[in-house]
Amino acid sequence: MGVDLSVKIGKLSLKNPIMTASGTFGYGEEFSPFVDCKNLGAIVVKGISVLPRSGNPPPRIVETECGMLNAIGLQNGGIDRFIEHKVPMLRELKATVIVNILGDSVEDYAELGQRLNQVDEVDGIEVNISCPNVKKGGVAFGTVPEMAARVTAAVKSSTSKTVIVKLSPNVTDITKIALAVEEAGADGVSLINTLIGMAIDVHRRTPKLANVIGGLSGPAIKPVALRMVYQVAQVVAIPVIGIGGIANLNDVLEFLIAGATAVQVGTANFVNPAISGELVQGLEQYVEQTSLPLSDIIGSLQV
Amino acid sequence: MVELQCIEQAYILKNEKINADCYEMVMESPLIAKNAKPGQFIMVACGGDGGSPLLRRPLSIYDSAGDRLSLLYRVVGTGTRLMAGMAVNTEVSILGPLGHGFVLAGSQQHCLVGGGIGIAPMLFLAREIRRRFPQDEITILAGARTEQELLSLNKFQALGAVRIATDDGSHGHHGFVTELLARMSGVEVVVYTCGPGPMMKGVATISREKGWPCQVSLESAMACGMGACLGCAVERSGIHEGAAKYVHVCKDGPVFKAEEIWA
Repeated sequence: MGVDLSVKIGKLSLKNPIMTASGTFGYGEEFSPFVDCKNLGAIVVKGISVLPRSGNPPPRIVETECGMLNAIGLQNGGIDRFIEHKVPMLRELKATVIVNILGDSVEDYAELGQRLNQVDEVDGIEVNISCPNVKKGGVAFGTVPEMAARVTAAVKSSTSKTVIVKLSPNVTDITKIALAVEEAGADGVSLINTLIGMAIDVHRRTPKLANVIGGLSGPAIKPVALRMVYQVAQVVAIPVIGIGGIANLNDVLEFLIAGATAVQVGTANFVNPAISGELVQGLEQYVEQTSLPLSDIIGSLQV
Repeated sequence: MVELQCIEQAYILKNEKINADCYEMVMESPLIAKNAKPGQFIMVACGGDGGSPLLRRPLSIYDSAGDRLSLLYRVVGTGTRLMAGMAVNTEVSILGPLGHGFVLAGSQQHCLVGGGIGIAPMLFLAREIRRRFPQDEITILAGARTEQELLSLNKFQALGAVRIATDDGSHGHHGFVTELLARMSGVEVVVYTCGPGPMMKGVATISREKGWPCQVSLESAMACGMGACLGCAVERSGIHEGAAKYVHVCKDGPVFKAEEIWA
């Protein structure tokens, strides 16, 4: 196709703005019958921690109106297993791969950054700062600007790869966190992560999730995500990646217009496993038909 | 197998009420029907069009022959209620075939134990056993709370010996279907079961005591059905740490060896 959809996050060039969100696309191979990952802007693989994590007891998911709650518990096999078993498979996919990382402490994040720095197949790192800082009583890194900045700086020092920080929406003012991580050296920010919510079984009078609370995702959160992307894009100079309830081309355009350089599609992958590839095609057709370069669309909101 | 999965617009040929809350749906779905194996399932889009209800619903494949795929489902909530209202000659989006089905090998006796709507995957299983091992004996133990909740008896009777248990004694043995299993004997017997958790656990225990291999088919709330979201976790038997603690019904199952779930 003759249309240029490429965008840049720091020094990382993506062939188009469509990415898949961490935790919704496995490690890519699960979706091979439906999507050719190398046609996507990038895939963001499931979050990796230093040590393996088993995740939470079930029930881990609950459907809600136009969305779902998840309390998966960051289940993953740990960095060693990732490098040994998942990387060779990612190599076969020939996709642009961003690895999401999570930790209990600043040192964890630095270690993950260092380990992944050695892996050629990894094109970028996405830092999940919605995790609790175990050394600070479990306060989430992403809720305090200074902590978010420290994690960002630690990861930036540990690797020469592009570093994107994934922001939590469960804060009073997300722009403060965005500014703090930008100042600490982030190449880009992605937002939003899930909104904390819960659901109750009225017959049993118990929470529907074993973890009691979980993260809300899906179309229901789009208006919040869009508002936050708009607000953050106003204050930072680094690229903003929009996440939250994206399910069709119209949603993609809303986020681009609001100021996002790229977007991630998450929950929609469960509804239609082919959606990410369809969005790439849809965006190509749109740009071709309107003859509008992406740069004219991104951040073009008129208030 | 991942490479055999697809999304298909299935054409509804039949969607018939069977009893108070169960329906049988027959669809023309050539790609999925061709690749489906007993014990596998599909994810059905219930018409929310990605809004509400958002997620597809996981349902066992009841039968698969030629181009046709059949479901036997119970209305338990929003999604299945919408399915019950789907009209013949309309299309429904389905994703599949998903999961690992039953492992089949020849045996003198195959014993299929179904509780309530859990008997659904047993039909496809019974047909396939009959097709592949025509000399083997098949016994179907069907349990339900009451006579009205027994399903597809005539179809099972055409495939093997059927024994029935009802909680209220309205048909067959007055008691649990596990009691029928306990009364059985034989040396070369393989057991397959699907139904309420406590029933399957009971089947697993009795099978182990008799030295019969047993496969269980689990269910779980699911978002993706494909092994991506990690939502359908079930604890493995024994003490395990880290990534080994849970198995996932959609991709490690839905069929498991009984001892993997109940020691």
